[in-house]
Amino acid sequence: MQNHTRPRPDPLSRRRALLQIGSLGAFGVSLPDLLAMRASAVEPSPVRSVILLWLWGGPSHLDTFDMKPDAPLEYRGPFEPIATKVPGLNFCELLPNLAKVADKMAIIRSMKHESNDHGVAGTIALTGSQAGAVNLGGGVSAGVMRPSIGSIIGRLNPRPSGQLPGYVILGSQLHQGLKRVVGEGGGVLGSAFDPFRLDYDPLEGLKVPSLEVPEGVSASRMDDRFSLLSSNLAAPRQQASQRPVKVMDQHYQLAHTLLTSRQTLDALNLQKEPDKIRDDYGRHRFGQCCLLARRLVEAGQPVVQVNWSTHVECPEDAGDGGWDMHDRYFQIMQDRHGWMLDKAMSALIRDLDNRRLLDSTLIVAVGEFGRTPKINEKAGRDHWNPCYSAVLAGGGTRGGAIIGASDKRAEHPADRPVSPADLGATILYRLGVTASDITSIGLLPQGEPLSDVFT
Amino acid sequence: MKFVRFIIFLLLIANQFASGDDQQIHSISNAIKPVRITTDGAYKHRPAWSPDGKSLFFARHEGGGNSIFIRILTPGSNDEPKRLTKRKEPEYNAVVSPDGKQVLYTPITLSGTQGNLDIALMPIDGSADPKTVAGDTGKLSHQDWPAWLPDGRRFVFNSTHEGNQELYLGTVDGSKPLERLTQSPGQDVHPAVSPDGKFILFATDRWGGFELARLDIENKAISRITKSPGLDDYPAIAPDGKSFAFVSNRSGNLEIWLGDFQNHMSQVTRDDAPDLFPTFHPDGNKITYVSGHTGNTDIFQIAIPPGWPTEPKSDKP
Repeated sequence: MQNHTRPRPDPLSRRRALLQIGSLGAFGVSLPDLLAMRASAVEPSPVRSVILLWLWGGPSHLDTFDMKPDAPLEYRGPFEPIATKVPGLNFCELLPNLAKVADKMAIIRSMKHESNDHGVAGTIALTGSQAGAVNLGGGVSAGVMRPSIGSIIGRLNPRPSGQLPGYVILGSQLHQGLKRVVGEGGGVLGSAFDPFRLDYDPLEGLKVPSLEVPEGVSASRMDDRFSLLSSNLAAPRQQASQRPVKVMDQHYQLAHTLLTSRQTLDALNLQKEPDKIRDDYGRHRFGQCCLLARRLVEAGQPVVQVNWSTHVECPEDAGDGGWDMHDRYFQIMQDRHGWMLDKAMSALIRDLDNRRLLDSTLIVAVGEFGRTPKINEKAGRDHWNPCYSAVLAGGGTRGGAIIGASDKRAEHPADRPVSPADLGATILYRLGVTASDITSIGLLPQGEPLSDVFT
Repeated sequence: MKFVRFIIFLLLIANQFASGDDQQIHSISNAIKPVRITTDGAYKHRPAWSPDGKSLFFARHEGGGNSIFIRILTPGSNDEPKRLTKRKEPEYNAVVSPDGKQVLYTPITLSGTQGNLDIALMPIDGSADPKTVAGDTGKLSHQDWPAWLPDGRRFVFNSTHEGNQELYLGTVDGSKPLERLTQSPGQDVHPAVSPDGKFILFATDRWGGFELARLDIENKAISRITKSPGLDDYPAIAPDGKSFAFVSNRSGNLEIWLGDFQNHMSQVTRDDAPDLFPTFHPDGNKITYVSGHTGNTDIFQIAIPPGWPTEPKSDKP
């Protein structure tokens, strides 16, 4: 059993101190922030870790957690709702195992934002802001890109030398078509707070994208590079003009460090898991990455993001299995996506619960948007940003809670619209990050935490 | 005469005991051990046998999930299943013609952010280039899931080219225009053709969730076959035409079931992982399917107990 109450900096005590000195105005904290802080002063300790299950491509809310069985056939789709462990809460029939742990989950049914472009929506969903987003046509949104939540945590709580950075992504750089999507990184905080990437391939095992040998470079040359890095450690700090090189070398150094750290290697070694556990998650990439996320959290990792895929598209559409199913949505959902999500996410919840880590770990599952409620002419659903769902589990989540509501065809929020900035603020809130923490690193707080999601 | 009647009476009683003991049937089901045919663990799609039962066609996800290629496996061989084509773009849904000489399949032409699915025909030995037998008719659409009629000249498939997912009948030589077989605002998918070529089983959501329906090709009359609280999909008709395998989650998970047209239904697989894409071995005694019950996704085969399906059907339409 893991000790999930081990000593760590207590953000709560910092909040109390701030309240005592009564100098919040000087920190640029608004009245809602002040009220939130006061409310949180009597709340349970913050969670230790967050696992973000990033459902890239945008899953359909109508075919997962916000079914509309009374809508016309061309809206509701072919799948039926099933009862969950929570009376009155129904999930899609393709999610029977998640239905059994619904008492540990909360559903937000009124997510919305302003873009239906994967690139822009991805940035909004991951940073809470459109600033700096790049759309499919290459256009860049105005403003300086904000950091993702993991980067904020990495900045606020630097990890000791020899450990993984505070922000790990299991998966490669996100793409829309051939275009890279931004928003997973440090943004205005700098690339030093970009995520460290790991991945798992069912056939090849653990992969370290940061350590991948470039085409045409031999392994011995990589060793030489490591040797050079080692000698550089004792060298004077590089000039600001060499920053990109420095950042890259930092990543190589980290990669080298983690591969020579027994503790880290243990955390990344899925062979140490019983076959039964590995099977429970599913031996597919997403399932095994969810298991890796649990092992990393168990080892003290604060933020782990599990990317469902690199590309938004399915392999039928030049991708690697994302949720962007403009055609054959229901067939693919039934053949692959439904049961893969069901198996992996439910196993993650059960496994963390069995290890008494669920209360200290917040799981969030969300994509960049939902899908069009009306089925299109290709038996698929298109992008839909005006209304979609997000799922929270563990971390003190009020089990079975339904936050907000969509209208009768799930086209728009009917109650309590929630923005990605609100969801991000909620995650930070549960991690014990205060508005003053945010401002202390040069950022402006954004969004309103959904504190009533939690007990 | 009285003696004959007595014998018939005894036979009827014996038959009633034999068919009415559901528990015994379930225990047989639990004892059945599926045989694993592939072991690589990569995601598989729609296995289909050649008519002689010597080759198994299936699609496999490769390249870290970026590709789907059709592979041909020779059971009993340790060789890596060989590729059907040399395409670099995805392909799946291969089905072999009744004479074993040609294959219909679904090649995908990548088009930026959406694939374009057509149906193509090629010699099984690759001796000639593929030709498209059902493609776009004016706009991007998706022709999918071909199934041969026993005459070897016609095939059915589902397509979205008229704005909704419907079933169509085509000819491999293009001698007749495509014939639309269904019309529903929902999804009509995954047709399976009876051995005599007179009817089709398919999945439709016209009554709510996915259910199986029967369509008589001659008059296009549609009748409902299943009525379950969950989905019923991927029908496959046995070589003798008397029974059909399909996927249903009526017991909680996606499992393989076996039904007939006389109100009998039996659950064939029982595990906590999805079992999909059932197809009959040409000998009619085994069902081949894709399963994740070992954690990986591989192709398995399970023997059908004699006399199945025997359980009373619970979902009369």
